[in-house]
Amino acid sequence: MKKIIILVLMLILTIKTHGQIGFLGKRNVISTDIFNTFFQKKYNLNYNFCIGKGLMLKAAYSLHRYSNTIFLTKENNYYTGNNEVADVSLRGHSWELGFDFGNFLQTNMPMPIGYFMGIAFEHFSGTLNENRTYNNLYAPPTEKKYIFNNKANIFKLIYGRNSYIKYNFIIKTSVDIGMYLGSVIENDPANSEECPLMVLPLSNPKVFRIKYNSNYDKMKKVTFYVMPNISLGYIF
Amino acid sequence: MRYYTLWIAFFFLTVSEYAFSQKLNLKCYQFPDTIPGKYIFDIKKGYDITSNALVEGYKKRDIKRFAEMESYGKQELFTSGYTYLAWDQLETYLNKVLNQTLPDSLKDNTCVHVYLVRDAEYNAFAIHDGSLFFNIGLFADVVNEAGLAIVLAHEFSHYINNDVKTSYLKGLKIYTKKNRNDNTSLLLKHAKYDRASESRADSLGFVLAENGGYDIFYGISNFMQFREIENFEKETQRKSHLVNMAKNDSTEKGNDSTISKSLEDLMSTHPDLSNRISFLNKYINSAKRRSGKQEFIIDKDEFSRFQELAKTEVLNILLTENKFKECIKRSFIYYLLNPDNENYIYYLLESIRRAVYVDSKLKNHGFLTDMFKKHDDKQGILHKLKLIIPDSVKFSKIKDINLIDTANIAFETYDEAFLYFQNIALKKNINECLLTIALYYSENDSLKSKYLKEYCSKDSIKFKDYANNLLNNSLYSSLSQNNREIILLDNISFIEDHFYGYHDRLILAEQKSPSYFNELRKMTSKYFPEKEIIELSELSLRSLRTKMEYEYAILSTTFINSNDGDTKSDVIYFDSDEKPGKLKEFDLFKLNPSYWKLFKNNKLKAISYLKVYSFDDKTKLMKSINVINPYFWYTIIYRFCDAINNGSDRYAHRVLYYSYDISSKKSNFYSETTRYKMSKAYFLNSIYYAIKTNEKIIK
Repeated sequence: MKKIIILVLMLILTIKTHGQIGFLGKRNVISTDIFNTFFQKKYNLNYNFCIGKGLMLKAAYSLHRYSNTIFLTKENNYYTGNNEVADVSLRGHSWELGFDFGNFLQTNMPMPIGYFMGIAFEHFSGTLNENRTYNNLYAPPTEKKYIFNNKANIFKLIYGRNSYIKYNFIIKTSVDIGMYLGSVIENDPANSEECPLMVLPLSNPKVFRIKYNSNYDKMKKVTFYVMPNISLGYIF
Repeated sequence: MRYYTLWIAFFFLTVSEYAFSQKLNLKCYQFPDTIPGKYIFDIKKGYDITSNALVEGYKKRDIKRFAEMESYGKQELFTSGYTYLAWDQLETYLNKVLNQTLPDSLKDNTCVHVYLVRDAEYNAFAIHDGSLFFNIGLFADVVNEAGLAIVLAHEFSHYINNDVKTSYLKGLKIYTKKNRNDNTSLLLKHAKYDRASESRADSLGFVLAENGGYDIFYGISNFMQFREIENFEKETQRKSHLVNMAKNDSTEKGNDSTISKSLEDLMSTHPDLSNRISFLNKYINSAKRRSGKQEFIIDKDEFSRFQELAKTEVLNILLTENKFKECIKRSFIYYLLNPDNENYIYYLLESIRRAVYVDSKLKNHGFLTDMFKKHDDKQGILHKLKLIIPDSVKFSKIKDINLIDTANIAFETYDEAFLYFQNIALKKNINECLLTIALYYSENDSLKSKYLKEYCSKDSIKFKDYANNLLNNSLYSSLSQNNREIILLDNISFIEDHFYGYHDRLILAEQKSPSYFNELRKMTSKYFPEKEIIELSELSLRSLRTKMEYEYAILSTTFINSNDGDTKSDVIYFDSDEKPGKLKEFDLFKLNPSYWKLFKNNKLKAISYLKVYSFDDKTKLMKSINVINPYFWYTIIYRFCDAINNGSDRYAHRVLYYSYDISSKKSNFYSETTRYKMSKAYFLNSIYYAIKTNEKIIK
């Protein structure tokens, strides 16, 4: 960890800080992610601070309120009609720290405006509530509830562009390429004969259903994902 | 005679210079405060007329481009101060001479008019609408009225033959996207066409001048003048980059100079001077045309009087343009031919002083010989006066015979030359020279104060206040109350690159600039309330004189960038291999005392110049929307990384910012290219940082 901190510090020191810092002298940006708010119900607040012409420090806090109904199995046979439905809801929060780099070959557009590349680390912790219902035409539905603690560390590589709109508002369009190191910790071993759904706060949980683990007290999964972002920001 | 289209003239606009008033014997040109109505043209009308005139074989688009450049460019020639606006007598005289050469049917044609140009070069040119432009530098050295008439008739012939338009349209092909990097054959072809049109203009010019009653024999003297310049350029390595490259190539291959000579001839837009002279000789001899023809028809006395004024004006222009060596050379030649004229001595001393101030090493170099390729460092031009006066007729007219005597050389170096002419000036009691001498010896306090005191004791001197303050060491403290920090804002240039070539969108600039400037004013009033934005185009209409004064002050401040102490003067060191000496501090007021007056009268603390260029490579448009091409998607990540590194592939904008601050005596030059489309916000941001960075460096 120390090495990483030293590396980052060295990187900061190598960035030319004289002259142009910030856009029109404005070095702070507050932004919120519109795309994920709409699609993932991830309410997000970002704060960026320019520490160099081509370097920006980033801190973010997000609230996750994801819920979805997923058909785990579905038979279309009219006479049997078995299906298994999972109502999933995720409640949690995450914090994020990172750096954005821009103006590599003196394109001379000081950050926060212009093309940039960023690295970020996001830590998510939350609770996954899963309510499974088994429907059968010839029997009453049965329900099972699971509660899991869900933790994840996400390393992201971000490519994006900040464009100035008007009145100090900026729009950020970016693509996150992430590595999700998630873990699910069961709270209730009694119910654990069924494997939990691992809900990545970014995507459809069906994709990340974890296979049964004989040593199921703790399950891990590494996933790569690509996620677009559209944020609206204000510089000051 | 050379003719150039307006766009070439544009490049030289920045080096045109302000003639300040002199209190020697001559009344020098002064800019009028406002531009007289007769020099304001209806640009829109001019554009419409030119763009609607179809030329067979050329696209409407190209004709519109030509019309845009010519109509806007013509007005720019006047509003930029490049043309004399208040020298009616000389302009009328030139027009009388032109009228004399015109055929009867065109004598009352109002379209055809000669304007006098404030340029020390030997040149004249015509534009598409019959306006002819005649440089003061050429007028100063033309031998007589007949020589003048031949030049004017030649330029008029270009108008009659429609050479300007045809040459421009033909030349467009050279700079298309496809051809611009491999255009040697096209260049050669175009040069051949230009040479042919020059020969045609020569022929018609001779006929017109001859029919006007002028002795066309004097056309030879014009050509001789050009040959002198050509030879001087060869001797001083002042040939164009292209010709120099050709020369280097031939040298590397071990060939002699014949190859480079033939290449030079092929590249030349003008016929070989020997051919032109022999053609004229044949023309004269074939019909014995000289009988009854005259050297002067309009007025010999007026010609001589104007020429004498023109010579001083040329020296004035060269000095304020910071072309010191050219000024030394010309004032020295003028002095040799007329040593009684005190102005020549003044300009000679002043130009030596300024040249030595800018490059202190020059002091001990051979006087004027340092300009030549082969020279002895310590040996002056007096050993080989023929180098600068090759014409034997002119040489025989040298009046200061002391300087012809090679057995008893009067001076060798610039320092010795200064001393020589200093003594002459002191003998002749040329008051203004006292200040020059005092400034030359500024390192020696006793000499400096001696001459300054003497200067201050004189009446009717030009820089009394300046000299008094210099004597009391209060030159800068007397300006401490000044608080104006002005930014001179030049027009934005919107330049587009198309497959058919570059397009400077002058009409677009006129439409867009006001809104950009309004935003800029808001920004500066918010972040830099102490700065005052002055639009040069607006100022030129309000007060041309002030505009010119400001511009030339800026021109001089760009001489030296005291940031790293290196002298950056294209004018002086462009052709020199020598590294100039380092100057720790740049004193603008020592370089040119008239700037002290300017700062004092206008209460200036700092002066800056701002110019913004916006580039749009339209040829990349198709590339960026090429989404149906699988290669586009295959390379998308690469493209994105490239965008992070290099910004936009298509757009860029550039800010140039020159400034000088009296509190720090520092001048700074800032230039940054931002590779993004120039929206208003990005435009403001670039300028914000130009000003900020500059402040940081200067203060």
